[in-house]
Amino acid sequence: METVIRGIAVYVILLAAMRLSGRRTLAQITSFDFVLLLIIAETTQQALLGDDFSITNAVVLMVTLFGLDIALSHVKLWSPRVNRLLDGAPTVLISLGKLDEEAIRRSRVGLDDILEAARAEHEVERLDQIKFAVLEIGGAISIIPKEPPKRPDEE
Amino acid sequence: MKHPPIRSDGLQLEEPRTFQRFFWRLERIAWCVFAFIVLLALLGLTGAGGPFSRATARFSAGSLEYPRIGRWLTPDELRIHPDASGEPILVVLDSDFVESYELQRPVRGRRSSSGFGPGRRAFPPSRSS
Repeated sequence: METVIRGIAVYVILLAAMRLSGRRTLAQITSFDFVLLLIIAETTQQALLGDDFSITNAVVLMVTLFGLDIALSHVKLWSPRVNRLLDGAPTVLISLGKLDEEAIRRSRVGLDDILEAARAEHEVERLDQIKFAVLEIGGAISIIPKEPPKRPDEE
Repeated sequence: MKHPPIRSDGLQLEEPRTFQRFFWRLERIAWCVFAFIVLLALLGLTGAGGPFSRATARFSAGSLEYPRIGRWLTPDELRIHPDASGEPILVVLDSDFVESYELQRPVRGRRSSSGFGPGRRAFPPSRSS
């Protein structure tokens, strides 16, 4: 019984902490994020297992976590509000070439992050060539350029 | 199947700005709570060391130093500081206490310990400081 309670408690706490620390935290894995992830994994391990290292305990815990995950995905499908609360919603950072400063500041995205995504995805050179920039739920920035860049062989 | 609405700028996605603003504010509040928890821990108010982690209670023949917050499965110490008079001190532990804590024998100067019925024990420690 204790394992199930531990599993649920740690899952809920971790979910809340991750969600509330902001979507950018673990979205794009930098070396810092990697270290953070490792430490969190190590820290939660003991709280999850307690002092019982039996296979039974591990199986109960795994089944609990999988069960929670499945249950949550059903709840999310069933209620859009819960879905939004747990997964968040996409944020439009640039709309028709106009920067939404509030959104950019509040979601802690730098202009260089937007430019990086633009360069990587669409070979866009400057900010004014971006029509839309959207911070997606997963933390990635998707870019829609103003006009598709010409390929050298098309000229 | 419900389709996401098309915004005035032509993007087909649902961006509930009211909810976003609420959540951004919630995030900021949560960060304050995180900082508060760290502060509490640094002050020792979550147990396991720190300036305010231990408290002292006085009684007629000395004082008792005890941890304010105990942690599950973590050993802790009750320290008894007898007064200079050197009179023996009889420590009686409540049965509730003995049920929730596992007692180990007193360190330094253990003379005798005797049972007081179920769940009660007494340790007369000698002078330790």
